Amino acid sequence: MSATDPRAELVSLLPRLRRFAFGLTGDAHVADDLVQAGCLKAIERWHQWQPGTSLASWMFRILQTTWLDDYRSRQRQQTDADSDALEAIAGEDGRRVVEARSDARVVRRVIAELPEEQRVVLMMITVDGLSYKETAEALGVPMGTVMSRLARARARLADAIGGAPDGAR
Amino acid sequence: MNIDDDTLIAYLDAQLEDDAAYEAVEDALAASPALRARLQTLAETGELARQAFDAKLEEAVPPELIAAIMNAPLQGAEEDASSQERAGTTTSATDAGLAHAPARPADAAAAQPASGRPALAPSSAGSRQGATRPSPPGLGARLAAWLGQGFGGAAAFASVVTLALGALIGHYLLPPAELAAPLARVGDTIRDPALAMALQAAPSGVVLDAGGQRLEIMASFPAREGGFCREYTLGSTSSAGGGQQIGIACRTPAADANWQLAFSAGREGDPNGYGTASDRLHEAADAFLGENVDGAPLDAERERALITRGWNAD
Repeated sequence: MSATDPRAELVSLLPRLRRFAFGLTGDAHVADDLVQAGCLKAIERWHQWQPGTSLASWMFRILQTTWLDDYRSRQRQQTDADSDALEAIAGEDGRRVVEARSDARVVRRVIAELPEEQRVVLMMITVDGLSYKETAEALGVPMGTVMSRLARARARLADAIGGAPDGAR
Repeated sequence: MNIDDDTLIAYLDAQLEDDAAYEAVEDALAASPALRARLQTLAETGELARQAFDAKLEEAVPPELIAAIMNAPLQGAEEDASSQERAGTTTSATDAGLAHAPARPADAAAAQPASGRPALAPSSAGSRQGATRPSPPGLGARLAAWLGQGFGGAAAFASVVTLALGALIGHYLLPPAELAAPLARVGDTIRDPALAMALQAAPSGVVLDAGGQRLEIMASFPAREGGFCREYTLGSTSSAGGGQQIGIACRTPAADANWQLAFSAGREGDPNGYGTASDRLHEAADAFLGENVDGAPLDAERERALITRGWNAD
């Protein structure tokens, strides 16, 4: 049994969970709803978490299944709205220069268009920095599957944004 | 040797199996400009992917999201010592859904005993120890950054600050090494991420164990000059003699206000556990509250409403 309040544990992970959910959903508001639903689910099922394993990867898995089960079907009709939301979010980031902003927007759009299984692996490994092993365990797939999904996602990313100077369009 | 994308990516991600695998990739890179160019492209685009989501990591987490999580009921079966404080919580966790979970009246009751002022949590909760896991490196600093952003640019709240008391009673306890934030002094904005999070989002009466420390927010009060104050105790989870600190943090009702340390008194570890020294700390805290807050602690419902609004005034 963990000596730590699960709620405090989860709150300390919120920045990473929100980033992952934003990558998964492509929409900041949907992402925060998803994070809240996922955290409440995790608190209910806290006994299922194995202390000593990565809480982050367990949470990413919960977010992904919650997204699959509860949210994605509802969001599917709103693809256009999601694109607008992506624009709006990129525009909110006032600290960045315009060029960098459009870069980030382009990159997020390319990632948003990846097949979901590739997008999840890219967010967990390339963006969040989890190991292949943690990712494979969290997703319940072999390491080889993780590697091939990642390679396809990275190849697509390289094709889409790797050629232009500074990655800009 | 033929090096494919999988291997190059695993090389970049430091996920190859052994030294021989790294050497094989490095030999192949040395021999092939095309492979070097591919590695460069993969490295750059991976970095772009990270950067594209950087802002999300630095963004302030919405207070209502933190509050929804902090107010979620814990499963009774999963709790031991602290479940005593939550006795009477019959709300089923499975009802939680997306709505904010109801505050637990038992928590508020625990923080507001009949004496009219908060008392220390029973030290029997000290049996819950052992598997405290350290935060990943750098997370503390990151937390400090995102918590700080949400509360940035506040006006000084010096009118509530009483410098003399804290110095008179004792000295400030050093935080454990896990906590990245510098030691707070009276008048400082609270930067300790766990404490700042708890002040902003935790209901009174909830015991939080983090980074080897046990933190409990005791009660919240309306400050006499506007805004709110919260009294907390901070002790060690490791042993009964780990020392104890009573703090009172206050903030203005402004949306971007910081929690600032208004009162602090502490004592070092005492092998005999909580003794007369803690009575003196409480007397000092009471004296401070008597001068600076308006009467009784906030009730649980009012406190929950304020947490949900991020402590902005009505």
